[in-house]
Amino acid sequence: MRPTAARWTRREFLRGAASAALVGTAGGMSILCGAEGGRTARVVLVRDPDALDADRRPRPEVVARMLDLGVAALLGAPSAAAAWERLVRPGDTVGIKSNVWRFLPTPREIEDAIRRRVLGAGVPAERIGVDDRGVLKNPLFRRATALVNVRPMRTHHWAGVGSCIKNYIMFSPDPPSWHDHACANLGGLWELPAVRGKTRLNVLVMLTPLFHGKGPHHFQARYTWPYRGLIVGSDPVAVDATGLRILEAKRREYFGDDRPFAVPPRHIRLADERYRLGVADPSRIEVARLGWTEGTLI
Amino acid sequence: MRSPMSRSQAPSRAARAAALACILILCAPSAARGSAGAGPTRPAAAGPAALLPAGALGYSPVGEDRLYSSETLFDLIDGGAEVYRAFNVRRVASRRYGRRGAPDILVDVFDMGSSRDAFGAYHHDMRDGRDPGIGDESEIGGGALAFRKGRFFVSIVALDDTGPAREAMLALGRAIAGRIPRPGAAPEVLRLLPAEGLDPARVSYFHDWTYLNTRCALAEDNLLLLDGETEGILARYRGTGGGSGGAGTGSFTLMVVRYPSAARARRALAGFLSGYLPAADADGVGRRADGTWAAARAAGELVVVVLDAADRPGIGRLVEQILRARGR
Repeated sequence: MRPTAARWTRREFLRGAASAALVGTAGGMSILCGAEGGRTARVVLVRDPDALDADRRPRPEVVARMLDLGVAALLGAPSAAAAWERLVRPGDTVGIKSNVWRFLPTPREIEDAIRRRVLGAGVPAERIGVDDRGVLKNPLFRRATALVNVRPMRTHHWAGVGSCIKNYIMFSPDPPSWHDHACANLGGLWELPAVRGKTRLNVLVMLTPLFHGKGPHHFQARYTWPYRGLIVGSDPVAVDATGLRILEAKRREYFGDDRPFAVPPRHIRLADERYRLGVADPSRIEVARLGWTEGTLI
Repeated sequence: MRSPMSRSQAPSRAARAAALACILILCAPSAARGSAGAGPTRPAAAGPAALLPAGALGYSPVGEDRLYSSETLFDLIDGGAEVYRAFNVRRVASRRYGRRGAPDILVDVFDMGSSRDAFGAYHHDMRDGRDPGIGDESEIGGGALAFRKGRFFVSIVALDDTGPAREAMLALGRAIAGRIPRPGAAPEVLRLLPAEGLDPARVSYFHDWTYLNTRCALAEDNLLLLDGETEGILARYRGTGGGSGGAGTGSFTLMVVRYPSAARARRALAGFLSGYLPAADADGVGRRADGTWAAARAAGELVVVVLDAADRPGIGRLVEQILRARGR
């Protein structure tokens, strides 16, 4: 079945792009200053009912369009191409830090869409790479000047949730050393030399998030659902906090109560309070919504 | 999308509470259940790999078996390995089963070294699903079967939740349970928990502070001086409306920790009160900044802690109940 056009109009697109101005950047992230001087952040949530086919596989052209709209709206750019030209330069070496967890890996369709946009921004193909567990030994990542952080949202055995902040654990030579206190200090990963100041974009894949897990493999298909979304943002804490809200809402809907996570995902709040990595307080995160609104949950 | 398991399929809370009450009262090895299965019964001395059956209901092994130690378990389940390392996992045997036209099934047999640590591994997850009666305790739902028997914790996962896969999981599970000759007891400390108001689906066993903090974030410092020689139970209680077993009228969390000696328990209590409840009165009761009440007291080699209570907890009464249970 041929996918239908995206549900958004040009007016919605421009409204999403212009609804909040970025007033400055700090350490490679965009942090907004609220009226009272407190830190605020902005993320873009993009959804499309045609993002998945009948087998829950991403439709390449649809998810690419979602990514384009989200990134353009995030940066207030007139087009996705213009947005990506602000994110990366032709002289950059760009590492796309993905996630290969076998039960819910980053879809190849999303990786390809990012790679195409980075190419389109003028970065030569030989200076674009995608990796996860091999990043420390990957020559391209060792000399990367820019990172794009992309992974699916899911619950996690030991951190509570696995999302953008945690996705950088493979940049550590000793990942288990970050597991103490339920991974409370994951925000510190972003201070590692291989990472610090390099992240240009965070993409939290919410196409089929995992909202609950049991057992050693922590995966059962019954605990995923076709949310059909992407969350993009410069602030990984805000992106994760927004994804967390959606998971919490889904758990309330499914279980009928506020069932706690097996492990509380404290690291998101602590990434804000302890590491000042970004904004975790939902009241200080603007969520710009584009596209499909049914079942948004937040 | 497959609809979730009907709640009517799950045992009632009253039934689960009754089942846990039996454990608390008797604290005896549960009778062997679900022991019938394919293949001869062999002693488990050879380790977890010896428990893997040749197949069931048309399913047969796919690829090579994998064996993991405590150090290499990360290769199988990434950060999830920390859960089982917290319970002293010794070895894990992993086998994949397949059948034409059906979803594959992953079987992982964890040798936890002791039945109490198998209990801890099993109860890391909230267990409120249907019990198919395999091993000492078991749960099936959503394409996954888990059980514990003796010193083993077993996980069986179908990559899709279909009827034939479910039947095969049960057959494999029964076969594995049949090869474990002896059932195992729940941790002795579990029977100390007062039964009234206890939520049996939310009981956690632990040894060390790092694991406890994943269940109940208290502080980064090891205030209770936990280590491999200690064991504890963390349990959630529903509000009892002022009943005899409750710490006040609302819900609360109860923790009981056993130490190698009374002296060590006293030191742990002192450290906990100093670090977590500095405003505690002479009875070890105090109110936290968030308005909740907490309390802690030592009794011989035990430390009893109440957390997140909505009103002043009757910890004295709780300690008496626990000591009476200990004396049985």
